[in-house]
Amino acid sequence: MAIITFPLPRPRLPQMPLSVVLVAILFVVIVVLAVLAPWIAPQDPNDQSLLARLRPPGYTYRDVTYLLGTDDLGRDLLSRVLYGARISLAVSVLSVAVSTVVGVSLGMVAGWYRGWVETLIMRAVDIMMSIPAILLAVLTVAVLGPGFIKLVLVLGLTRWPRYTRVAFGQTLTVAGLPFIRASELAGAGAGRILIHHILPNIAGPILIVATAEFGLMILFESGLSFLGLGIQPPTPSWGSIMSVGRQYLERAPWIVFVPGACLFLLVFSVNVLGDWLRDWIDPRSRSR
Amino acid sequence: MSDGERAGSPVLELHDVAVYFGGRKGLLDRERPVIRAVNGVSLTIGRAETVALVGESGCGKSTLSNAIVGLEPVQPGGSIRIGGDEVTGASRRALRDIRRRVQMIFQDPALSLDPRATIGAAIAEPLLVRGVARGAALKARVARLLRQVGLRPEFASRYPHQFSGGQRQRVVIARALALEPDLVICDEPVSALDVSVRAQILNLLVELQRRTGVSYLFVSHDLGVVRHIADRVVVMYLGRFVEIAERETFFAKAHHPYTRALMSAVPEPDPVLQRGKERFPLHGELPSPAKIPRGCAFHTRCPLATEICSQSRPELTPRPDGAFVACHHV
Repeated sequence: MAIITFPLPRPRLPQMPLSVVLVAILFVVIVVLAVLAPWIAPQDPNDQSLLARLRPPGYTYRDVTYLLGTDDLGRDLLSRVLYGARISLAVSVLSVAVSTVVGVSLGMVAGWYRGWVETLIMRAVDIMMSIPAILLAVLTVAVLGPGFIKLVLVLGLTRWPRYTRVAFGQTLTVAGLPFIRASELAGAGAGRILIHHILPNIAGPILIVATAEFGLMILFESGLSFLGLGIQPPTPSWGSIMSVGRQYLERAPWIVFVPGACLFLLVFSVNVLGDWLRDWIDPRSRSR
Repeated sequence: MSDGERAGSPVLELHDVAVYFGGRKGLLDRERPVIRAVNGVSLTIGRAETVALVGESGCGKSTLSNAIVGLEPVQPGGSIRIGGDEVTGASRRALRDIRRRVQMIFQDPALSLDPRATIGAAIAEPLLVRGVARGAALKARVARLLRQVGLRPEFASRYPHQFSGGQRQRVVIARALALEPDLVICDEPVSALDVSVRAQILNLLVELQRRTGVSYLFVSHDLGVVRHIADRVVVMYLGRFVEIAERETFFAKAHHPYTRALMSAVPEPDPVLQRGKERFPLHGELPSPAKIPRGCAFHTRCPLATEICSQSRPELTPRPDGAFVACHHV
């Protein structure tokens, strides 16, 4: 019998426009700075120096130069913003992970088993979606009390319905394809089919939801910390730094401005990258 | 049942199999019209036999295939036996064992393979989940299967989109044969392929049958393909069989008016033959399976229909040349 050979197609590198490359670099820089905070922060973020309160950027006191100024307790703002980035990023990454796992599992189960399972899960989604997420988060924190783990769980467990909707719809589409039937005939169980065949084929749209949610989570974290319901002082997070700075807005605007600008840049870069990812994953937008 | 006993029994026995859709499912569900997609059919397929199932779209061919492999529940009263073992009412474990003897090849090879899995993984899956082989032995089995369908073993690490339609269908065939089934249901396996590739795939199926003794239930609406591959032909109309005949008998003389209409619709490449061909046009559309006509289901479109056809339903009865036909008039 004739055997046909043909060359492998050359692996394609993702083509990024220059603007996206710049944004990607910005994102990487923020993440690296956050990760390396303990090594690059010039001061201990909680070291107070009451004689150097509310000093402007560039102020030098006793041989210590405060590059971004100091806050109301004379703490180095640069160090606090660097450490705060760790908290803000950790909270958003972990809460996105929690809501992705919960939401996608429920969506796939609803789409695979249909029937009353679908009714139960999708009506729960409708109910969750009808309650404003920030309100739900505020109420939950008010009842449970603040804390890092609680904050992650509250954000993660209030934001899963969007993933469930997407995963459910995608699962319905994929589950009807012949290769899923072939796996059933091969003897594969529901668990194997969901994890090995359905999940990889619905991962694209879910990734896109996750990037959009990531930006939102940073904002939620900052918002809740700003309201005093998230990260508690003296631990720095961007939201809590801004919350304090609000009281000194006229005398020391840099306390709000610096973490605010960082927040803006991070959310902006994540959203731009998410947009690009969505276009890149969708094969229709790529020329072959 | 031992393997020795099983070897004696037919690969597949259908007795009065029916598949209905709709009706009231749950307490709160609203009543839907009952669709009788498959309406009581009986058939036996022997070892190394190829039975072609023909009929127009919506006649129940695919539903019947799905019922045989267990993807569609059968109405109580019917019986499906695979290698002598009853499928309906069998326990889950017994069912799992019986099911491996029947595999399926689908119409569209582009949709029959997971785009995110290598073809090696696709072929290995049935062997892996059934615990037949693992590790190096599994790799060797996959390589052997690939060679068997005319592909190179190195292809195992490639993805479906790197193959042509015909090559993908070869992969699908390799996966279907991985568990060494007794019966493979081919649901229009070549209708999505280029004409030039069709013959290759059909010849591969014939060759694999000669080598392994597998039986095929070959679902198709292409009588040219059927003539090439089938030992026996079954014609289906609105959920019932209307004619069953050996290939030679079938193509020598079609009995049922519906079969004659199907035959007359196949164009002849020779214009002289085409001009002299029997014209047997049908009027009207295929009735909805939710409202199957009383009596003979075909009487609304049949040029031979008389009073009796709308009164009583003809059974499949033998004719002198060995064909079984369900018609009052032929």
